[in-house]
Amino acid sequence: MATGKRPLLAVSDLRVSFFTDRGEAPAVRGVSLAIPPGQTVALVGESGCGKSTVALAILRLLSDPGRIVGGRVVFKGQDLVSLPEPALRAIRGKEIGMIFQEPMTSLNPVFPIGEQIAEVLHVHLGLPKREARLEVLRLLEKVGIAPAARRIDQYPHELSGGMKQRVMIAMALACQPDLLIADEPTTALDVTVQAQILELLQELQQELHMAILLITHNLGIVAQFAQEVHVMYAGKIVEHASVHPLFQHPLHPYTQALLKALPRPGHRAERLAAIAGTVPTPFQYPPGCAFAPRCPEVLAHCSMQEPSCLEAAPCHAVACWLYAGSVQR
Amino acid sequence: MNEQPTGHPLLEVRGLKKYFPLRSGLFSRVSAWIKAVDDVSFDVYPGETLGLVGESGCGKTTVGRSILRLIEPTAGEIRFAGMDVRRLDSTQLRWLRRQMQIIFQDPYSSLNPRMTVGAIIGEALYVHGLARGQELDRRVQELLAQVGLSPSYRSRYPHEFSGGQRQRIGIARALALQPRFLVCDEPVSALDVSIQAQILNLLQDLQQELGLSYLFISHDLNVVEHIADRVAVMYLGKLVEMAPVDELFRNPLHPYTQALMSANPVPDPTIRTRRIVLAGDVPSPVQPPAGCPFHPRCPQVMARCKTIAPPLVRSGHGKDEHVVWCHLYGTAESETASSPSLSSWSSTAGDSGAAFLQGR
Repeated sequence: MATGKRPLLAVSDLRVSFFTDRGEAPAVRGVSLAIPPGQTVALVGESGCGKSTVALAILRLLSDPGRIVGGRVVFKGQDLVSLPEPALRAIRGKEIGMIFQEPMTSLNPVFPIGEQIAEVLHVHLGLPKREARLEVLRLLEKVGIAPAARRIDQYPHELSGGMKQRVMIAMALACQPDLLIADEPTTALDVTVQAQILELLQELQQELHMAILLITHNLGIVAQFAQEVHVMYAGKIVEHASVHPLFQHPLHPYTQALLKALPRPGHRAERLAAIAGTVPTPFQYPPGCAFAPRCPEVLAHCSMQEPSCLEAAPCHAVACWLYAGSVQR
Repeated sequence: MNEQPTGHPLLEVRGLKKYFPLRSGLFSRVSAWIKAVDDVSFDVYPGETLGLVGESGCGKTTVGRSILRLIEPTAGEIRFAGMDVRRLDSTQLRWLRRQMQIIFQDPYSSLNPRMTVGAIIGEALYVHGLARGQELDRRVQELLAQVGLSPSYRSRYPHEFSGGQRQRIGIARALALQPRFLVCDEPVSALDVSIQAQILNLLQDLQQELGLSYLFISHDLNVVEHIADRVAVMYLGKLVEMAPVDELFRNPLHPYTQALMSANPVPDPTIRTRRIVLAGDVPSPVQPPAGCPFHPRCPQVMARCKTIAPPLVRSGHGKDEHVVWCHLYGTAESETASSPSLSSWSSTAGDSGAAFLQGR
């Protein structure tokens, strides 16, 4: 998408496969996206669509049997896919922060939270112990953990889910990264706590001028917090637009169906438009467009040839044969 | 969804309490009580859906399970079709089990992986001696068809199915005994949006077809607004507000309900809600705050909220009743309602359960 500014992160044609006993499972099949500095870009999709795999692949945190099999991830001019591990380790956690869905499992249970945050400061910035502790206190206050002086020596099990996620945010932001990858950051939390965390992320984003890649299945969060949206289905991006056009004039039948399937305030009397069938797994993607078997507007050649993602309207890209005629080049 | 005349409630819950003991020390002495459900009263009318909303740990699941006597309540009265659920003998309890069933949240852990789908669905029919042999097989096939699954699936095992299909199996199992009342405990929370819509539609179709009543427990306000006729909001073991769904979403009175609604992200970028961000976390139910349980986080807290239990303030009757437990809308019995716009409201002070009964 033409945003004028050079993107902070540019993912192009990223491909990830899991090599299992049952064969190769292509979880990510050519994903391209760009994140401009200071913006929130959402990657939205249902479970199993490959959105979390994209996040892990960007940071090269995939574990066996997952492997990047193609594509580039360019961050500030460097391709992270081919970068040697030590150089990548200097970027990970320092220039790119990350928070995951499960704050319960992302923290080490046998160390006090303060020590875990201090470790990040020590490794990346070389801060000595006493200075690191002062910085940790400042960070804990910033993410709303009070009283910081008492909390700093507590263990993860002494904190609530919301507090743990705040600790994760403090850790991710310790080195003031330019990009934060947030994978379902509030999914395990209650709505009122979710609101607190999202509010906090927005404040910190403005203060630090940080870009966020927000990975979520929650279209409500996307609508309220993102500027740009990529919709993912079966390992591919099927639609990409700014948040307003995406919600007001969705082009891809999958995006349209997803929005219609959602219970919305004030539309109580209407029957939900369910999408028939289920999400395909990477072992059995249908031929052609992966959404074709569930698509209400399916055409004859949809299940034969895959559509490519093209701009059907200014700054609004869609991978669908319905728009193949109206493509602006 | 279907508007029926206000008749007698199918289910009446009064002053329901469930305290769990917290044991500690060498002899596992009871050191404290967790007040998971503390004095909850409500009705469910025939053919309606009562939504029960709240955040994790507020006690909503405990309410659902207490009604079915899957856990024994500590105190309170539960009447189903006029019968006192807590005083049934074993024969009557078997009858009750046929009347009330439950659908669980997690379709992965609530189906026995070693049983075929047919055995899972038919088990209750067999145990209750309602069908055997070919008749049992015929009923299982009927039930599968009823929930939108192929009757041929009866010889397969749960692992062969997706989350949405498993939830359909769980619904077929719940329907096997032809119950009148279903507790739906977060039935769509584990499902993706596209599948969630399928299950919500199925539940609504079955309700119309079979005249079922639902207690629909959920933390998702959008889902509850879609499916419920009336909604009860729970916080820290207590009800804070209850009203018909349109009324509650148009005119939420309790500051907690207001905060909950404002925190709910609307899937529409043109609607920017002013979020009421609550400070802090939900307090522990071991030592709930004195007075109103919500007062430490309430943006509109007053002095008396910290010491005096909030009064029950009501308007309307039966299914149209809007009740709220909050000092903002009424005080002790001698005083009048504090807000002139609510002058039509009558206020009742004191113990909510007793007040509820007095008002009838």
